[in-house]
Formats: sequence, structure tokens, C-alpha cells
Amino acid sequence: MLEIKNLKAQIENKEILKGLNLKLEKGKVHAIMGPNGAGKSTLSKTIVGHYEVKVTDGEILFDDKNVLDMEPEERALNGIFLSFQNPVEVPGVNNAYFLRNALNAKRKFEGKEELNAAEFLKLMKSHLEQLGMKKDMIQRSLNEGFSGGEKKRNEILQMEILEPKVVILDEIDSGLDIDALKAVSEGINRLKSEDRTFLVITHYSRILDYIKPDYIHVLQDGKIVKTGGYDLVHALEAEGYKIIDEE
Amino acid sequence: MNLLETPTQTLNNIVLPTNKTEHYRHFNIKSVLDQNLTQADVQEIEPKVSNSIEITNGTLTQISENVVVTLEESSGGNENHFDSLYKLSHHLSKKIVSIKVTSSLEEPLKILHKITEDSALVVYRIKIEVAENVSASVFEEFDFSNASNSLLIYGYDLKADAYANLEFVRDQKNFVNNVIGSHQVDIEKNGNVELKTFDFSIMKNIHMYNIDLAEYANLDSSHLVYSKENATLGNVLYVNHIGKHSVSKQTAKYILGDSAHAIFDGKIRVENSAAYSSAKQNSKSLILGNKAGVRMYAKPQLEIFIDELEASHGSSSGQLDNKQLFYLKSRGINETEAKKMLILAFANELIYKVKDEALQEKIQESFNEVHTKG
Repeated sequence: MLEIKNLKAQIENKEILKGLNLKLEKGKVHAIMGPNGAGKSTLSKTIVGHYEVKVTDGEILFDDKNVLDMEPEERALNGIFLSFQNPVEVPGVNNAYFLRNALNAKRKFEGKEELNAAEFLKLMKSHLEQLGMKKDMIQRSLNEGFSGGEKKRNEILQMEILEPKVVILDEIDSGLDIDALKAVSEGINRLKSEDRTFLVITHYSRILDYIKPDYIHVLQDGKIVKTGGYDLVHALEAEGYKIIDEE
Repeated sequence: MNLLETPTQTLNNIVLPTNKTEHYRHFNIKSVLDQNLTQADVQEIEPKVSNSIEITNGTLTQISENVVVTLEESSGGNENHFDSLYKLSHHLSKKIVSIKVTSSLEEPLKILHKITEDSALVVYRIKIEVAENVSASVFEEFDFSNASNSLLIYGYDLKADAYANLEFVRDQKNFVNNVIGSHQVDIEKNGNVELKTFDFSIMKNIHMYNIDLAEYANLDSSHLVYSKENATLGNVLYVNHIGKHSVSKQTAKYILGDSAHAIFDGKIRVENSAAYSSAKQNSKSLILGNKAGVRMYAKPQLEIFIDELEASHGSSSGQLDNKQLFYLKSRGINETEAKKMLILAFANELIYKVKDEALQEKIQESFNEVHTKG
């Protein structure tokens, strides 16, 4: 389980998270919704150790370890994965080469043998097929020239290959057409297990219809202000976030 | 022999460059020329015949059976060349190595420059002419492993005849000697020249190019430089559009470690006879080390004498992109490996332009050797 206690964080000297508390249960799908500027992306960046974020108070515990004491790569090796809202393009770094390095770093960390190029390509091709991605994804530079949908599918590809324990999906549905949304949702559902936790950040219910979250949390003004079941989504869609203010 | 003490009557009207000479201004040419060196004795011997060309201490020791190689008297080269060391090297070369490519080559023509004498001044010139409608690739590399404190002053007179295609690749990895290359490139009507140079040395190397483009001629030049540990590495290109519809594209990428000095001086001149030409130039430098000790002199210049053309130039300098670095780290790749990946990615854009895969790998190895050294 990942537990966030009284988390306060700033970006560019502006306090965004103002004492956020959240427990992500193992094996469950948690969704976070909230108005623009509430701190949703800041939360995801804080969990993975983004250089823009300065944590001023609180802790994040995962498997009895304080995540805030770890470098970003350590957090990843310990099983925390963020699917970025706008994945950066990295021209010149081959997609397959990058992912093989990432996987082998993880395997080495876990005391397992690394995969050679042939073994990895076989693994990658099987996942590409499942996600409806073209085989040229192997040769292309990481995210370079990818459409919005391709970038998101590439994030899911990485998630499937790296098999993290905590998956944070920051607006994975933004910019996706119906087919891409279905493929991405299927990828997420394939990875659901008792040992894996999902945190889905979204503005819309569309993706939630596919992945069926266990909990809905509303993040407003830097704090979690309400937690509920799936019916909360429909209430928010119908009435807006003012229903939280009115409570 | 100390070049700076050579009587001027011997050099006729050649005026040696000084630290104030425009295109050597940031190179500290004085420290390179002001040394007591023994001029290598260039001989005319019967060279071995193989599949590559070798020049050892200025003597042609091996020729390729795939091209016509002779020694001929120097005509002095292009009298309008901007570099006095171009003229000096013509003057001091007893004979020049002349290579004529008269039919298209299936494999790259390899040229190996060897220096085996310490504190030697080695001067020679090579002429390469690619005949009309012929395609060729030339790959040059250097073996200075058995010499130190020597100076090579050399250069090419390259000519691509009408509709000829020449790819010229240089892999320069030089740890103990200085090199000054001064070149003339003539691209005739509809000729095409691709210059791809890779300089990963830790000494003082500079290459000067005077490039003349005729009508519909095409030049694509790319230069990758990795400078560190007090090296001074530079490229000076004066590209002259003389004919209509001529096209030039220059890309320079520099990776600069601690205490590195580097120069990119690129002048594009478009004559009024060169209407509808296109000239583009871009230089990017990536600073790895302590910024305080790094010197990058980028000097893009345009001299345009006509309105009907397309021309642009740009220059940028920066460090590794934090967003990219973080993305790699967020996938479990440690900072050292992530930086290596990004540096290699920066370099690969130009390494991948080399057509022959085996040569690409060779250059990758040279790059990796320098990147991981020290």
C-alpha cells in the first residue's frame, strides 16, 4: 500500500499541496478528479520525485519505506511508475533500446538475469501486438513524432513491460480517440492484480467506464476533500465540483 | 624546423597566420606553429597495392586498386583560398597525391594517415576528383599511436564533377598530435558532396574548408565534435554559392566537456550569380562539464548579394534537457546511464547519416571510447 500523510509541496515557491492525505490500497483502482489547478499533476510529480517539486512537509510511505528519501530512479526500481500527461520526446534514443535498458535495470535490482536483445524484442513485439501498435515502434526514437495516441500507448507499453507495483496514470485519456482509449484501457485492465495499485487522474468519466475504479477521490485546493464510490463520478458530471463545496 | 623562423623569401608571398588572423583567432595557432619540429622526409617509393590508401609520414606507402592514384606536381591549388596554410601546404608539398575516381565504388575508399615520427612536421596534400556521373564514398582515419608532439598540415582538393556524388567521412581520434587541415571543395553543376566529419581528439585540430558551388550543386556538411580536457577543436567553413539553384546545408554539433575549447565559424556567401539558391546552417553545442572552463566560439555569418534566395542560420548552446533526463530516470535508469544515453542521442543524429553500416559502427566505437575515457 502507498500511504501519503500530510503532504505539502510547492512548485516555484507556490504551495500546491496543502496537507494531502491519501491511502492507496493494494490491488485497488483509485481515481482522482478535481478542478484545474487543484494539484492533481503536482501530486503525481511529487510521488515520482520530479525536480520541479519541493516537498515542505509530510511523508509518502511505500512498503514501509519513505519514498521521499529516494531518488527518482530508486522509486522506479521499487515499483512506482508514472504515465506522463505529456510524455517528452527524446530524439536519438531508440525506443526499444531505452525500454530494454529500463527493464534490465529493474531485473538487475531484483536479482534477476538481464534479457538480451533478441529476448527483449520478442517480449516487446508481443506487447506491441496486444496494444495495436505498429512494429516500427521498435526502431523509432522515444516518443519522437508520435501522435498523442501513440505516446499514450507507448506509456502503457512501458507499464506492461516494467510491471510496476504502483501505477499512476496522469490523464492517460486526454487526446485519445475511441480505439486508442479502448486499447489503453484494455492494457490497464490486463495489469490489474491483487499486487498492483492504480491511481488514475482524469477529468472525465469515459476511461473510468472502462477500468471501473474502486474509489473516487476529489482533490480540491491541494487536499483530498471527498472519497466515494463510482456513483460519485456521475454526481460530479451532473452537478460539477460545487456539490463538494455545498456539503 | 620552426615554421615561424622560416625566412620569408622561401615562402614567397605566403603570410603565416597569427593569433590575430580572423579564422584562427580562437585557435591559438601560434602555440601550434611555434615549435621546433623536424620536417618529415617525404619520399617517392613504389607503394603497395591493396584495397586502401596509406600515407605514412607524408610518403604514399599504399594505394587502392579501385581508383587511379598518382603523384603529380602541385599547381598551387585555388589562389583565392582564404587560408594561408592551404597555400603553404601546396608550396611545401613536393608532389601531391592525386586520386581519380572514374567509376562508381561499391565500397568506401579508405585513406589512412599515419605518423610514426616524434616531433615531426608532416606536410602533404591530396587531390580527389570524382568523375561525371560517378558515385563514391571516401573514409579517412588517422593512426598517430606511434608518434607524439608532431604536427600534420595537410588538406584535400576535392572535386565532384557534373552529376557526381561524393560522400566524405572523417573519423578523427587523436590524442598526441596536432592537425591542421585546409581544404578546397569544388562542386560542379548538379554535383553532390556530403561531408561528414567526426572529431573526438584531445589535442588541437582545426579544419578549414573553402567550398565553391556551381549551378544546381548540392552540399550537405555535418560536423560532430567532442572536445574535452583542454582540447581545441574547430571547423571553419566558407561556403560560396556561385551558380543558380545551388543548395548548401551545414549542421554542426559540439559536445563540450570540462575545459574544452571549440570553434565553429561558418560563412555563407551567395553571389549575385546564384539566384534561387538555398543556404542553411545550424550549430548546436551541448555543455557537459563545468561551464566556467568551457569556450565555444560559434560564428554564423551570411553575406548575401541577391534577393532571390532562401537562407538561414542559427546557433544554440545548452546543457542536457532536464525533462528528458527525468523521463529516463523515472523508468529506473540511473543518472549516469541516462546522461550517457542523451549524449549518445545528440551525437547519433550525425553518426546515423553515414551510409555504410560498418563505418557507422566504427565511428560509434570511436565516440564511445572518447566518451568513456577519463
